[in-house]
Amino acid sequence: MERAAPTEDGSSPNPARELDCRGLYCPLPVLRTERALAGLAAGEVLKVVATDPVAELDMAVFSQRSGHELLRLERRGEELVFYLCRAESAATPG
Amino acid sequence: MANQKEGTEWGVEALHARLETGDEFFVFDVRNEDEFEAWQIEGRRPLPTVNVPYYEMLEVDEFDDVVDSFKAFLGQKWAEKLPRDKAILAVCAKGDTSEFVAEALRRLEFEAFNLAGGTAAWGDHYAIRPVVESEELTILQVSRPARGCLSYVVASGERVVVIDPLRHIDHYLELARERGWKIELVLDTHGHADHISGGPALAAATGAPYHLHPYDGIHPIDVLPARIDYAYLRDGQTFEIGRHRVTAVHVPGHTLGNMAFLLDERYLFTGDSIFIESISRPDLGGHGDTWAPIHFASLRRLLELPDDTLVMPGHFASLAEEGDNGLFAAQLGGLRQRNGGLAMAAGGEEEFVAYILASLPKFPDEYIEIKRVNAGLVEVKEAKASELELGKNICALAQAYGDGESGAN
Repeated sequence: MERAAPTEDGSSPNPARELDCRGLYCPLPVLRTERALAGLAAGEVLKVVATDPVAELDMAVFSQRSGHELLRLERRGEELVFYLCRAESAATPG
Repeated sequence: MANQKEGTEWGVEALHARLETGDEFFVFDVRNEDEFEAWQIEGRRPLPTVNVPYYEMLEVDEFDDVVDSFKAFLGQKWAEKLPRDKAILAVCAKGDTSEFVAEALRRLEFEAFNLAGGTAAWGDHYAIRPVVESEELTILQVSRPARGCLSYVVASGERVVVIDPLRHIDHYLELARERGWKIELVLDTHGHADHISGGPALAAATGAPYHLHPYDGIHPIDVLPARIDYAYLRDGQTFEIGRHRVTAVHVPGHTLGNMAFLLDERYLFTGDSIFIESISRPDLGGHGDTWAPIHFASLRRLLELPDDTLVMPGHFASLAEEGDNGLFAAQLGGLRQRNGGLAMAAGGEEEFVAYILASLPKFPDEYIEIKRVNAGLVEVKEAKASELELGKNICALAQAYGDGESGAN
């Protein structure tokens, strides 16, 4: 599958799956994101909606560690919307 | 809610009390490595601390439950290494993940607690302690212990001056409300680099004038004038507070507009000139070499004050500087010997300048931006303000703590 690229024109990437992490606190948003990504094919995009402000930093660190690229972060009021691209082979945390 | 968690978590007041007594406990910090590197919880004495980022403990494939996952990891990797004879405090950024970690540790039969609110709550914790409390005069030291920032409220009758108010001005407003005080004057000793001043906001909220030396109304790196409303302080200027008098003393060095405030010829609010164990650094404006000699002259001027002058500084670098009375305050006479930088200032200028330039800790990039915020050149929201202020101040010379080398870069 063709790898999703970060959008240059400001439009949101097209997600293969959406994950609702609203109301969940660290570490649950990252944990569920990791699981959801495991179920996707390489290059597919996962959209994650979270409300815990800590998720912004945590998701960036998770992306760096795991290799799943954080394509885009949108802020919609209290909500943080992440678009992550499933890596070819994700690094195993820990 | 609070009752349910009693016995399983420490609030920031409880943490502060334990750090002050020097009771030893073990810190199990699960924040990201970068966050941990930036600052840690520090006590009167070094605390045994480990950093194990939480994501290293999550075995995502095996467990549905976060506590089970942490318990499996900790049981395997840490059960033999963690102390069973002292309390373990689990710490993260906001206190959510660490709650699971503390629970996992308890299931492994450790005496573990969660730091409620995490390092964010600890960083924003304020403590208020009386220095003087008489019918005539009240002096309160208002501190942010995690950041090492000190501010002062001086009251005579209902008239109040606030010196170096910190960012969360509600603490001062509430204090005034509780005690029936009127904040009539807001003074900043200088344009701060390590924290965002509450001065302009407190002045706006109370209608009191905000004073700053005009030299600090110019950003030293950008060389741009401040866009805040302030009245010019000058050397020798006096302010009456009831029957008491505050005299402004210009002591350039840390900044060009650096001031100290002398109350009743007896109490000296030194801001960032003289601290308890150290002196301030002259390089945060980007001109350490040319400002160090000015700093020398200013310290010499303050050293002329009598021995029984009570020094109340703008910062501390370690809780170890706290006296038995819970205050960061000491008589000038005692500091002449105890304070290494001050002892150097009593000697020759050349040696002093060489000493000071060899003792400079690292210069955090954020400090330039914080000065912009304090000058009103940049506006920031809460999240950014909190991020800029992260960690403990580095306004003092490093040598007094023997970490000049490690702080060099």
